[in-house]
Amino acid sequence: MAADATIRGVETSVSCTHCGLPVPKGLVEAGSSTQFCCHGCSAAYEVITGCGLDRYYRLRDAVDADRAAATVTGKSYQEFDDEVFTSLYVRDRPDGMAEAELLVEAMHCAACVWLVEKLPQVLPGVSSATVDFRRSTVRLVYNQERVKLSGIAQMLDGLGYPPHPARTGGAQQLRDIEDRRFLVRVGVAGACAGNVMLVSFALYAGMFDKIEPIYEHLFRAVSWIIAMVSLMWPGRVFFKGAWASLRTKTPHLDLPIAIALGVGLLWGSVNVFRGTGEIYFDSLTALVFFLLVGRWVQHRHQRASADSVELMFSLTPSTARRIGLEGEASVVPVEALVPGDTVEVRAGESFPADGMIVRGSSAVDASVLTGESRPEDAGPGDDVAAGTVNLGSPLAVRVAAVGEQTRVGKLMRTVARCSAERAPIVRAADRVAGYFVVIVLSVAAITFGAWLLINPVMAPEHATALLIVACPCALGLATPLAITVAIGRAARAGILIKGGEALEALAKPGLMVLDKTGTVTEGRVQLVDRVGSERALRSAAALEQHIAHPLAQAVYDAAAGMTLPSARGVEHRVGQGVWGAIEGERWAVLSPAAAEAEFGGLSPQLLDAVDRFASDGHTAVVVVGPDGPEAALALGDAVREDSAASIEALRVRGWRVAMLSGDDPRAVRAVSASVGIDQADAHGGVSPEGKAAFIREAMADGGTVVMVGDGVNDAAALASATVGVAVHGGAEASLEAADAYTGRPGLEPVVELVEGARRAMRTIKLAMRCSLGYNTVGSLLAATGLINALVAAVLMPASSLTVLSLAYRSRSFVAKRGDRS
Amino acid sequence: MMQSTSEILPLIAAVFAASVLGSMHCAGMCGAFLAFAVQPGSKGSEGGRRDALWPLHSAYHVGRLLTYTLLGFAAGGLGAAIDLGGRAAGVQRAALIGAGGLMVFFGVVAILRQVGMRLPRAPLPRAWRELIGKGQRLAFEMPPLARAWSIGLLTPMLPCGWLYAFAVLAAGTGEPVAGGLVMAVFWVGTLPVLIGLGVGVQAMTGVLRRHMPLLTSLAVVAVGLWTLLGRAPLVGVAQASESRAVTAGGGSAVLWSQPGATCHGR
Repeated sequence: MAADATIRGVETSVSCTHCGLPVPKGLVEAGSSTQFCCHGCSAAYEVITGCGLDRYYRLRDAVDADRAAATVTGKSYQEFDDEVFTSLYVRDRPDGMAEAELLVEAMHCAACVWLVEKLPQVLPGVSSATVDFRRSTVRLVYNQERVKLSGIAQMLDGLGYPPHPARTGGAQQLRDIEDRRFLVRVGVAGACAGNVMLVSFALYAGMFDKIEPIYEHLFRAVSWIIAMVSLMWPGRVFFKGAWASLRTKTPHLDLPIAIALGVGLLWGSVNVFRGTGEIYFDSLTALVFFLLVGRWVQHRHQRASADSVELMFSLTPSTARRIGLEGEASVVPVEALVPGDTVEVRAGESFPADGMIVRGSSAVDASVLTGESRPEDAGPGDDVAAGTVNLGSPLAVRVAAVGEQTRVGKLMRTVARCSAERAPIVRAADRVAGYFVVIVLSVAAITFGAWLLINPVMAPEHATALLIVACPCALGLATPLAITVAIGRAARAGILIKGGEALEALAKPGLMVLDKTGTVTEGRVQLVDRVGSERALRSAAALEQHIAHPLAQAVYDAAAGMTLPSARGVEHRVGQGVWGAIEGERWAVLSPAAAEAEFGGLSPQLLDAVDRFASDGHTAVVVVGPDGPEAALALGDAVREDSAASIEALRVRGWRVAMLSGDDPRAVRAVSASVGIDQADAHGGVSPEGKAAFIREAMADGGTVVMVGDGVNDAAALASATVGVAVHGGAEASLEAADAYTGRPGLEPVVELVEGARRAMRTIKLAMRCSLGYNTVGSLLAATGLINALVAAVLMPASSLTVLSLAYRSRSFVAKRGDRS
Repeated sequence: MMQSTSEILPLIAAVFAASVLGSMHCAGMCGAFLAFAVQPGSKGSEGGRRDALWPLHSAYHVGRLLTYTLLGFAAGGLGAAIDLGGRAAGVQRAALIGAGGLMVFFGVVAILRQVGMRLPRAPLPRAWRELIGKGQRLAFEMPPLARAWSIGLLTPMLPCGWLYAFAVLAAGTGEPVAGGLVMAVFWVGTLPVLIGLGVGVQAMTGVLRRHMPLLTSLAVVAVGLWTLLGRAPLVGVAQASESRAVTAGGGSAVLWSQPGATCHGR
């Protein structure tokens, strides 16, 4: 818009009011409020304003005119200008500009991206705003002397996209640079392949129409130069990979690819200079392009699943409200906190550091660390952990530990160490690659030898043709594509898989270790059994509704829907029970010991029940009425409805199922019996370190070991296992450690995961067989000298297309639309 | 006259390459329309679910494809008529020459404007402007799928110089089917950027963005020149056995086919 153009002055040209591209100098209309680069844009502008849909333009103008009034969350974002913040998140660029990345909320469609990327036109001093839609981030390049980061943040906020610092600044930038380089390589490979293809059209046309020799030489030389660029720049990764594979003596798919590319280039070059023979450069460059595209697709997909976990971490607080000496609060980045500081944490916010409450009382949701969603009461003197959420009222907290020293931080380090120590999974395609190299090289040697006897001139020609035709392009494409399709389908079914290796491992049955609490069971205390009348339960609930204790709540919940009598004079003695008066009669809910002490013994029926409850690992309470003990209630963690069926389904698919829990061994035995797990495979009372050790021991046998769990106590075990699966509702720590995450509760998604992985691997194997079959036929044709450049150029994309359609056809996971949470 | 494969393939490749290169322009101009087209739900409601968007995307793009192809078909027909008239007047492939010349002219005008020269500009007819407004207004009122489809259909009505450069090229083929093909290939070239609009268009273009208008103008000139000069020798090579005279290439055709007994182009 014109106003911006004058403000921004000489440094940039006038931007088109509609599309934002520069307006040609010859079309700039001095003094006009709108500027257009072409008739199209001016007509488009007219349509949009004419239809009353000019909110893009209006929003921009409104924000520009009255910036201060436009804030939505009311935040001032002053912490964005803090020195510590700047040193952490803002990077100086060589051209004198500053660069920062912000995480942006509420960006959910193309229009949002469009709007946010228009930032440079709204805000003088911002030179570019680049949105990464998938990660919900915007990368800003701006002039620090003309605009403050807090100003940009306010503007984003005003547009309805509240910004947060992107926590992974440094690492993220590195990855972005790496990403961009990869993309450039793919682009270069594509351009080279396209151009060589064009030249080849001319050469093939010349084969039928007798091309002039001089042009033929010219075209061959041109395609040689382009092929050199393609193989030496984007194609270099395959040679590097092959070299690494040779040095480490581990088979890798890059090796046969590099051999084909290398030999093809070598012999092609010789033929260009000899002026006769096939050159195959179109096949070689296309090969490089296809393979890179396959890798790129896979790379992006794995990144996407990993990032969604990372994003959750990014949303833990980045700022804290520090209370100064005079009691005044100032907003600072969490990195500026030191032990001894006092911070204020309002309701709904998460704690920025570990510490002790010094003022106020509230309820704290610690599910991030424990997976337990029941809030705990907290008051002065209680410890709180970073990342947990303050639910009730404002608290003042004295900071004890920050950053990596916090409980969460330490746990993350353990998890990282466990992940690093785990042996990598050898991928199927790489296992095949080893045999592949040996076979192809032998056949090539035989072909060369045989043709040396038949017609020595043709020997190198046919051997080279064979190596190129046998290049496992389809093989290299099949695995990434099939895996990508499977991961995408799984995500739609509510299952997040971080990498293809996990899929491959899950397809091979082995030992499946299940956590008990929250995985096999519901993960919360409830009434699971009762001996005695319903009247007793109603009375018990009437007493317990006044008590804030998990067991009391469970009794109250069990009576949901019943009409409860009113209780008076309720008295609670910790460790013993609850007394009170209901309709003039005295009732109590007591521990079995307290009941026996008070009434000198229980009836044999109740005594049996109490013993049975205890041996099942449940907590027993006795309801005492006016005439003495009347009922016994069992309170415990109920087994999920689908657990037994799912465990059976896993067993049918060849898995051995074991249970591992930190809970009381008796409870573990009871649960394992009810879901059909062998008693020898049910282990109780195991510490988090013990769980990890158990997994490592099991893995020593060499088989696949899958750990399924949900809590922080499972995180180390999840990271140690061949594949760690975090189940719905789990702690973030377990998400970080796991290779897969199920978005729906229970074990049913785990069965789906295993089944989907099996199907995905079947597709991959089918694609591999097709590609190997194609290679065999191609090799035979090449060995017998029946193949020429044109046939090879047609066969190659045809085989890739076959593999592509195979990969997309696969029905690995079925989307569950209805019950997605 | 039916064109041979060796003539059509390079044409397709060139149109595709130019279209991809220039599609940043499409992102800027049609981005807003695309955003309205793929907005789920009725007008004004918040769009939340992303997986419900692909039918809308498809409807929009298929709509565009239809009218683009029709436009190309019509342009090709016009070219055929010009060819016919040209032959009557003793000029071979008049449409091709006309198209090439027109494109070079358009491109040069655009470049001159980039460097700051003020050139007179033909105003858009008032009736056309009103028609566009009326059509889009109608489309915006429709239910989502129909809206996306109609907005797509109406796209070629926007007086976009870039689009019409390709329409001119389509006319240059002098054949309705080939003209339709040119426009269909142009459509394919615009897809990556328009579909990618949601994933950070700026990242894809980077430095290119500032120089975009100049680059597209140069591309128009290049395609125009190539239409005038470059395609002639290829016609000659591929159709060596035919004795059809190719005069379109003029001096340049002489240069390319100099020693050849293969080319009957003189």
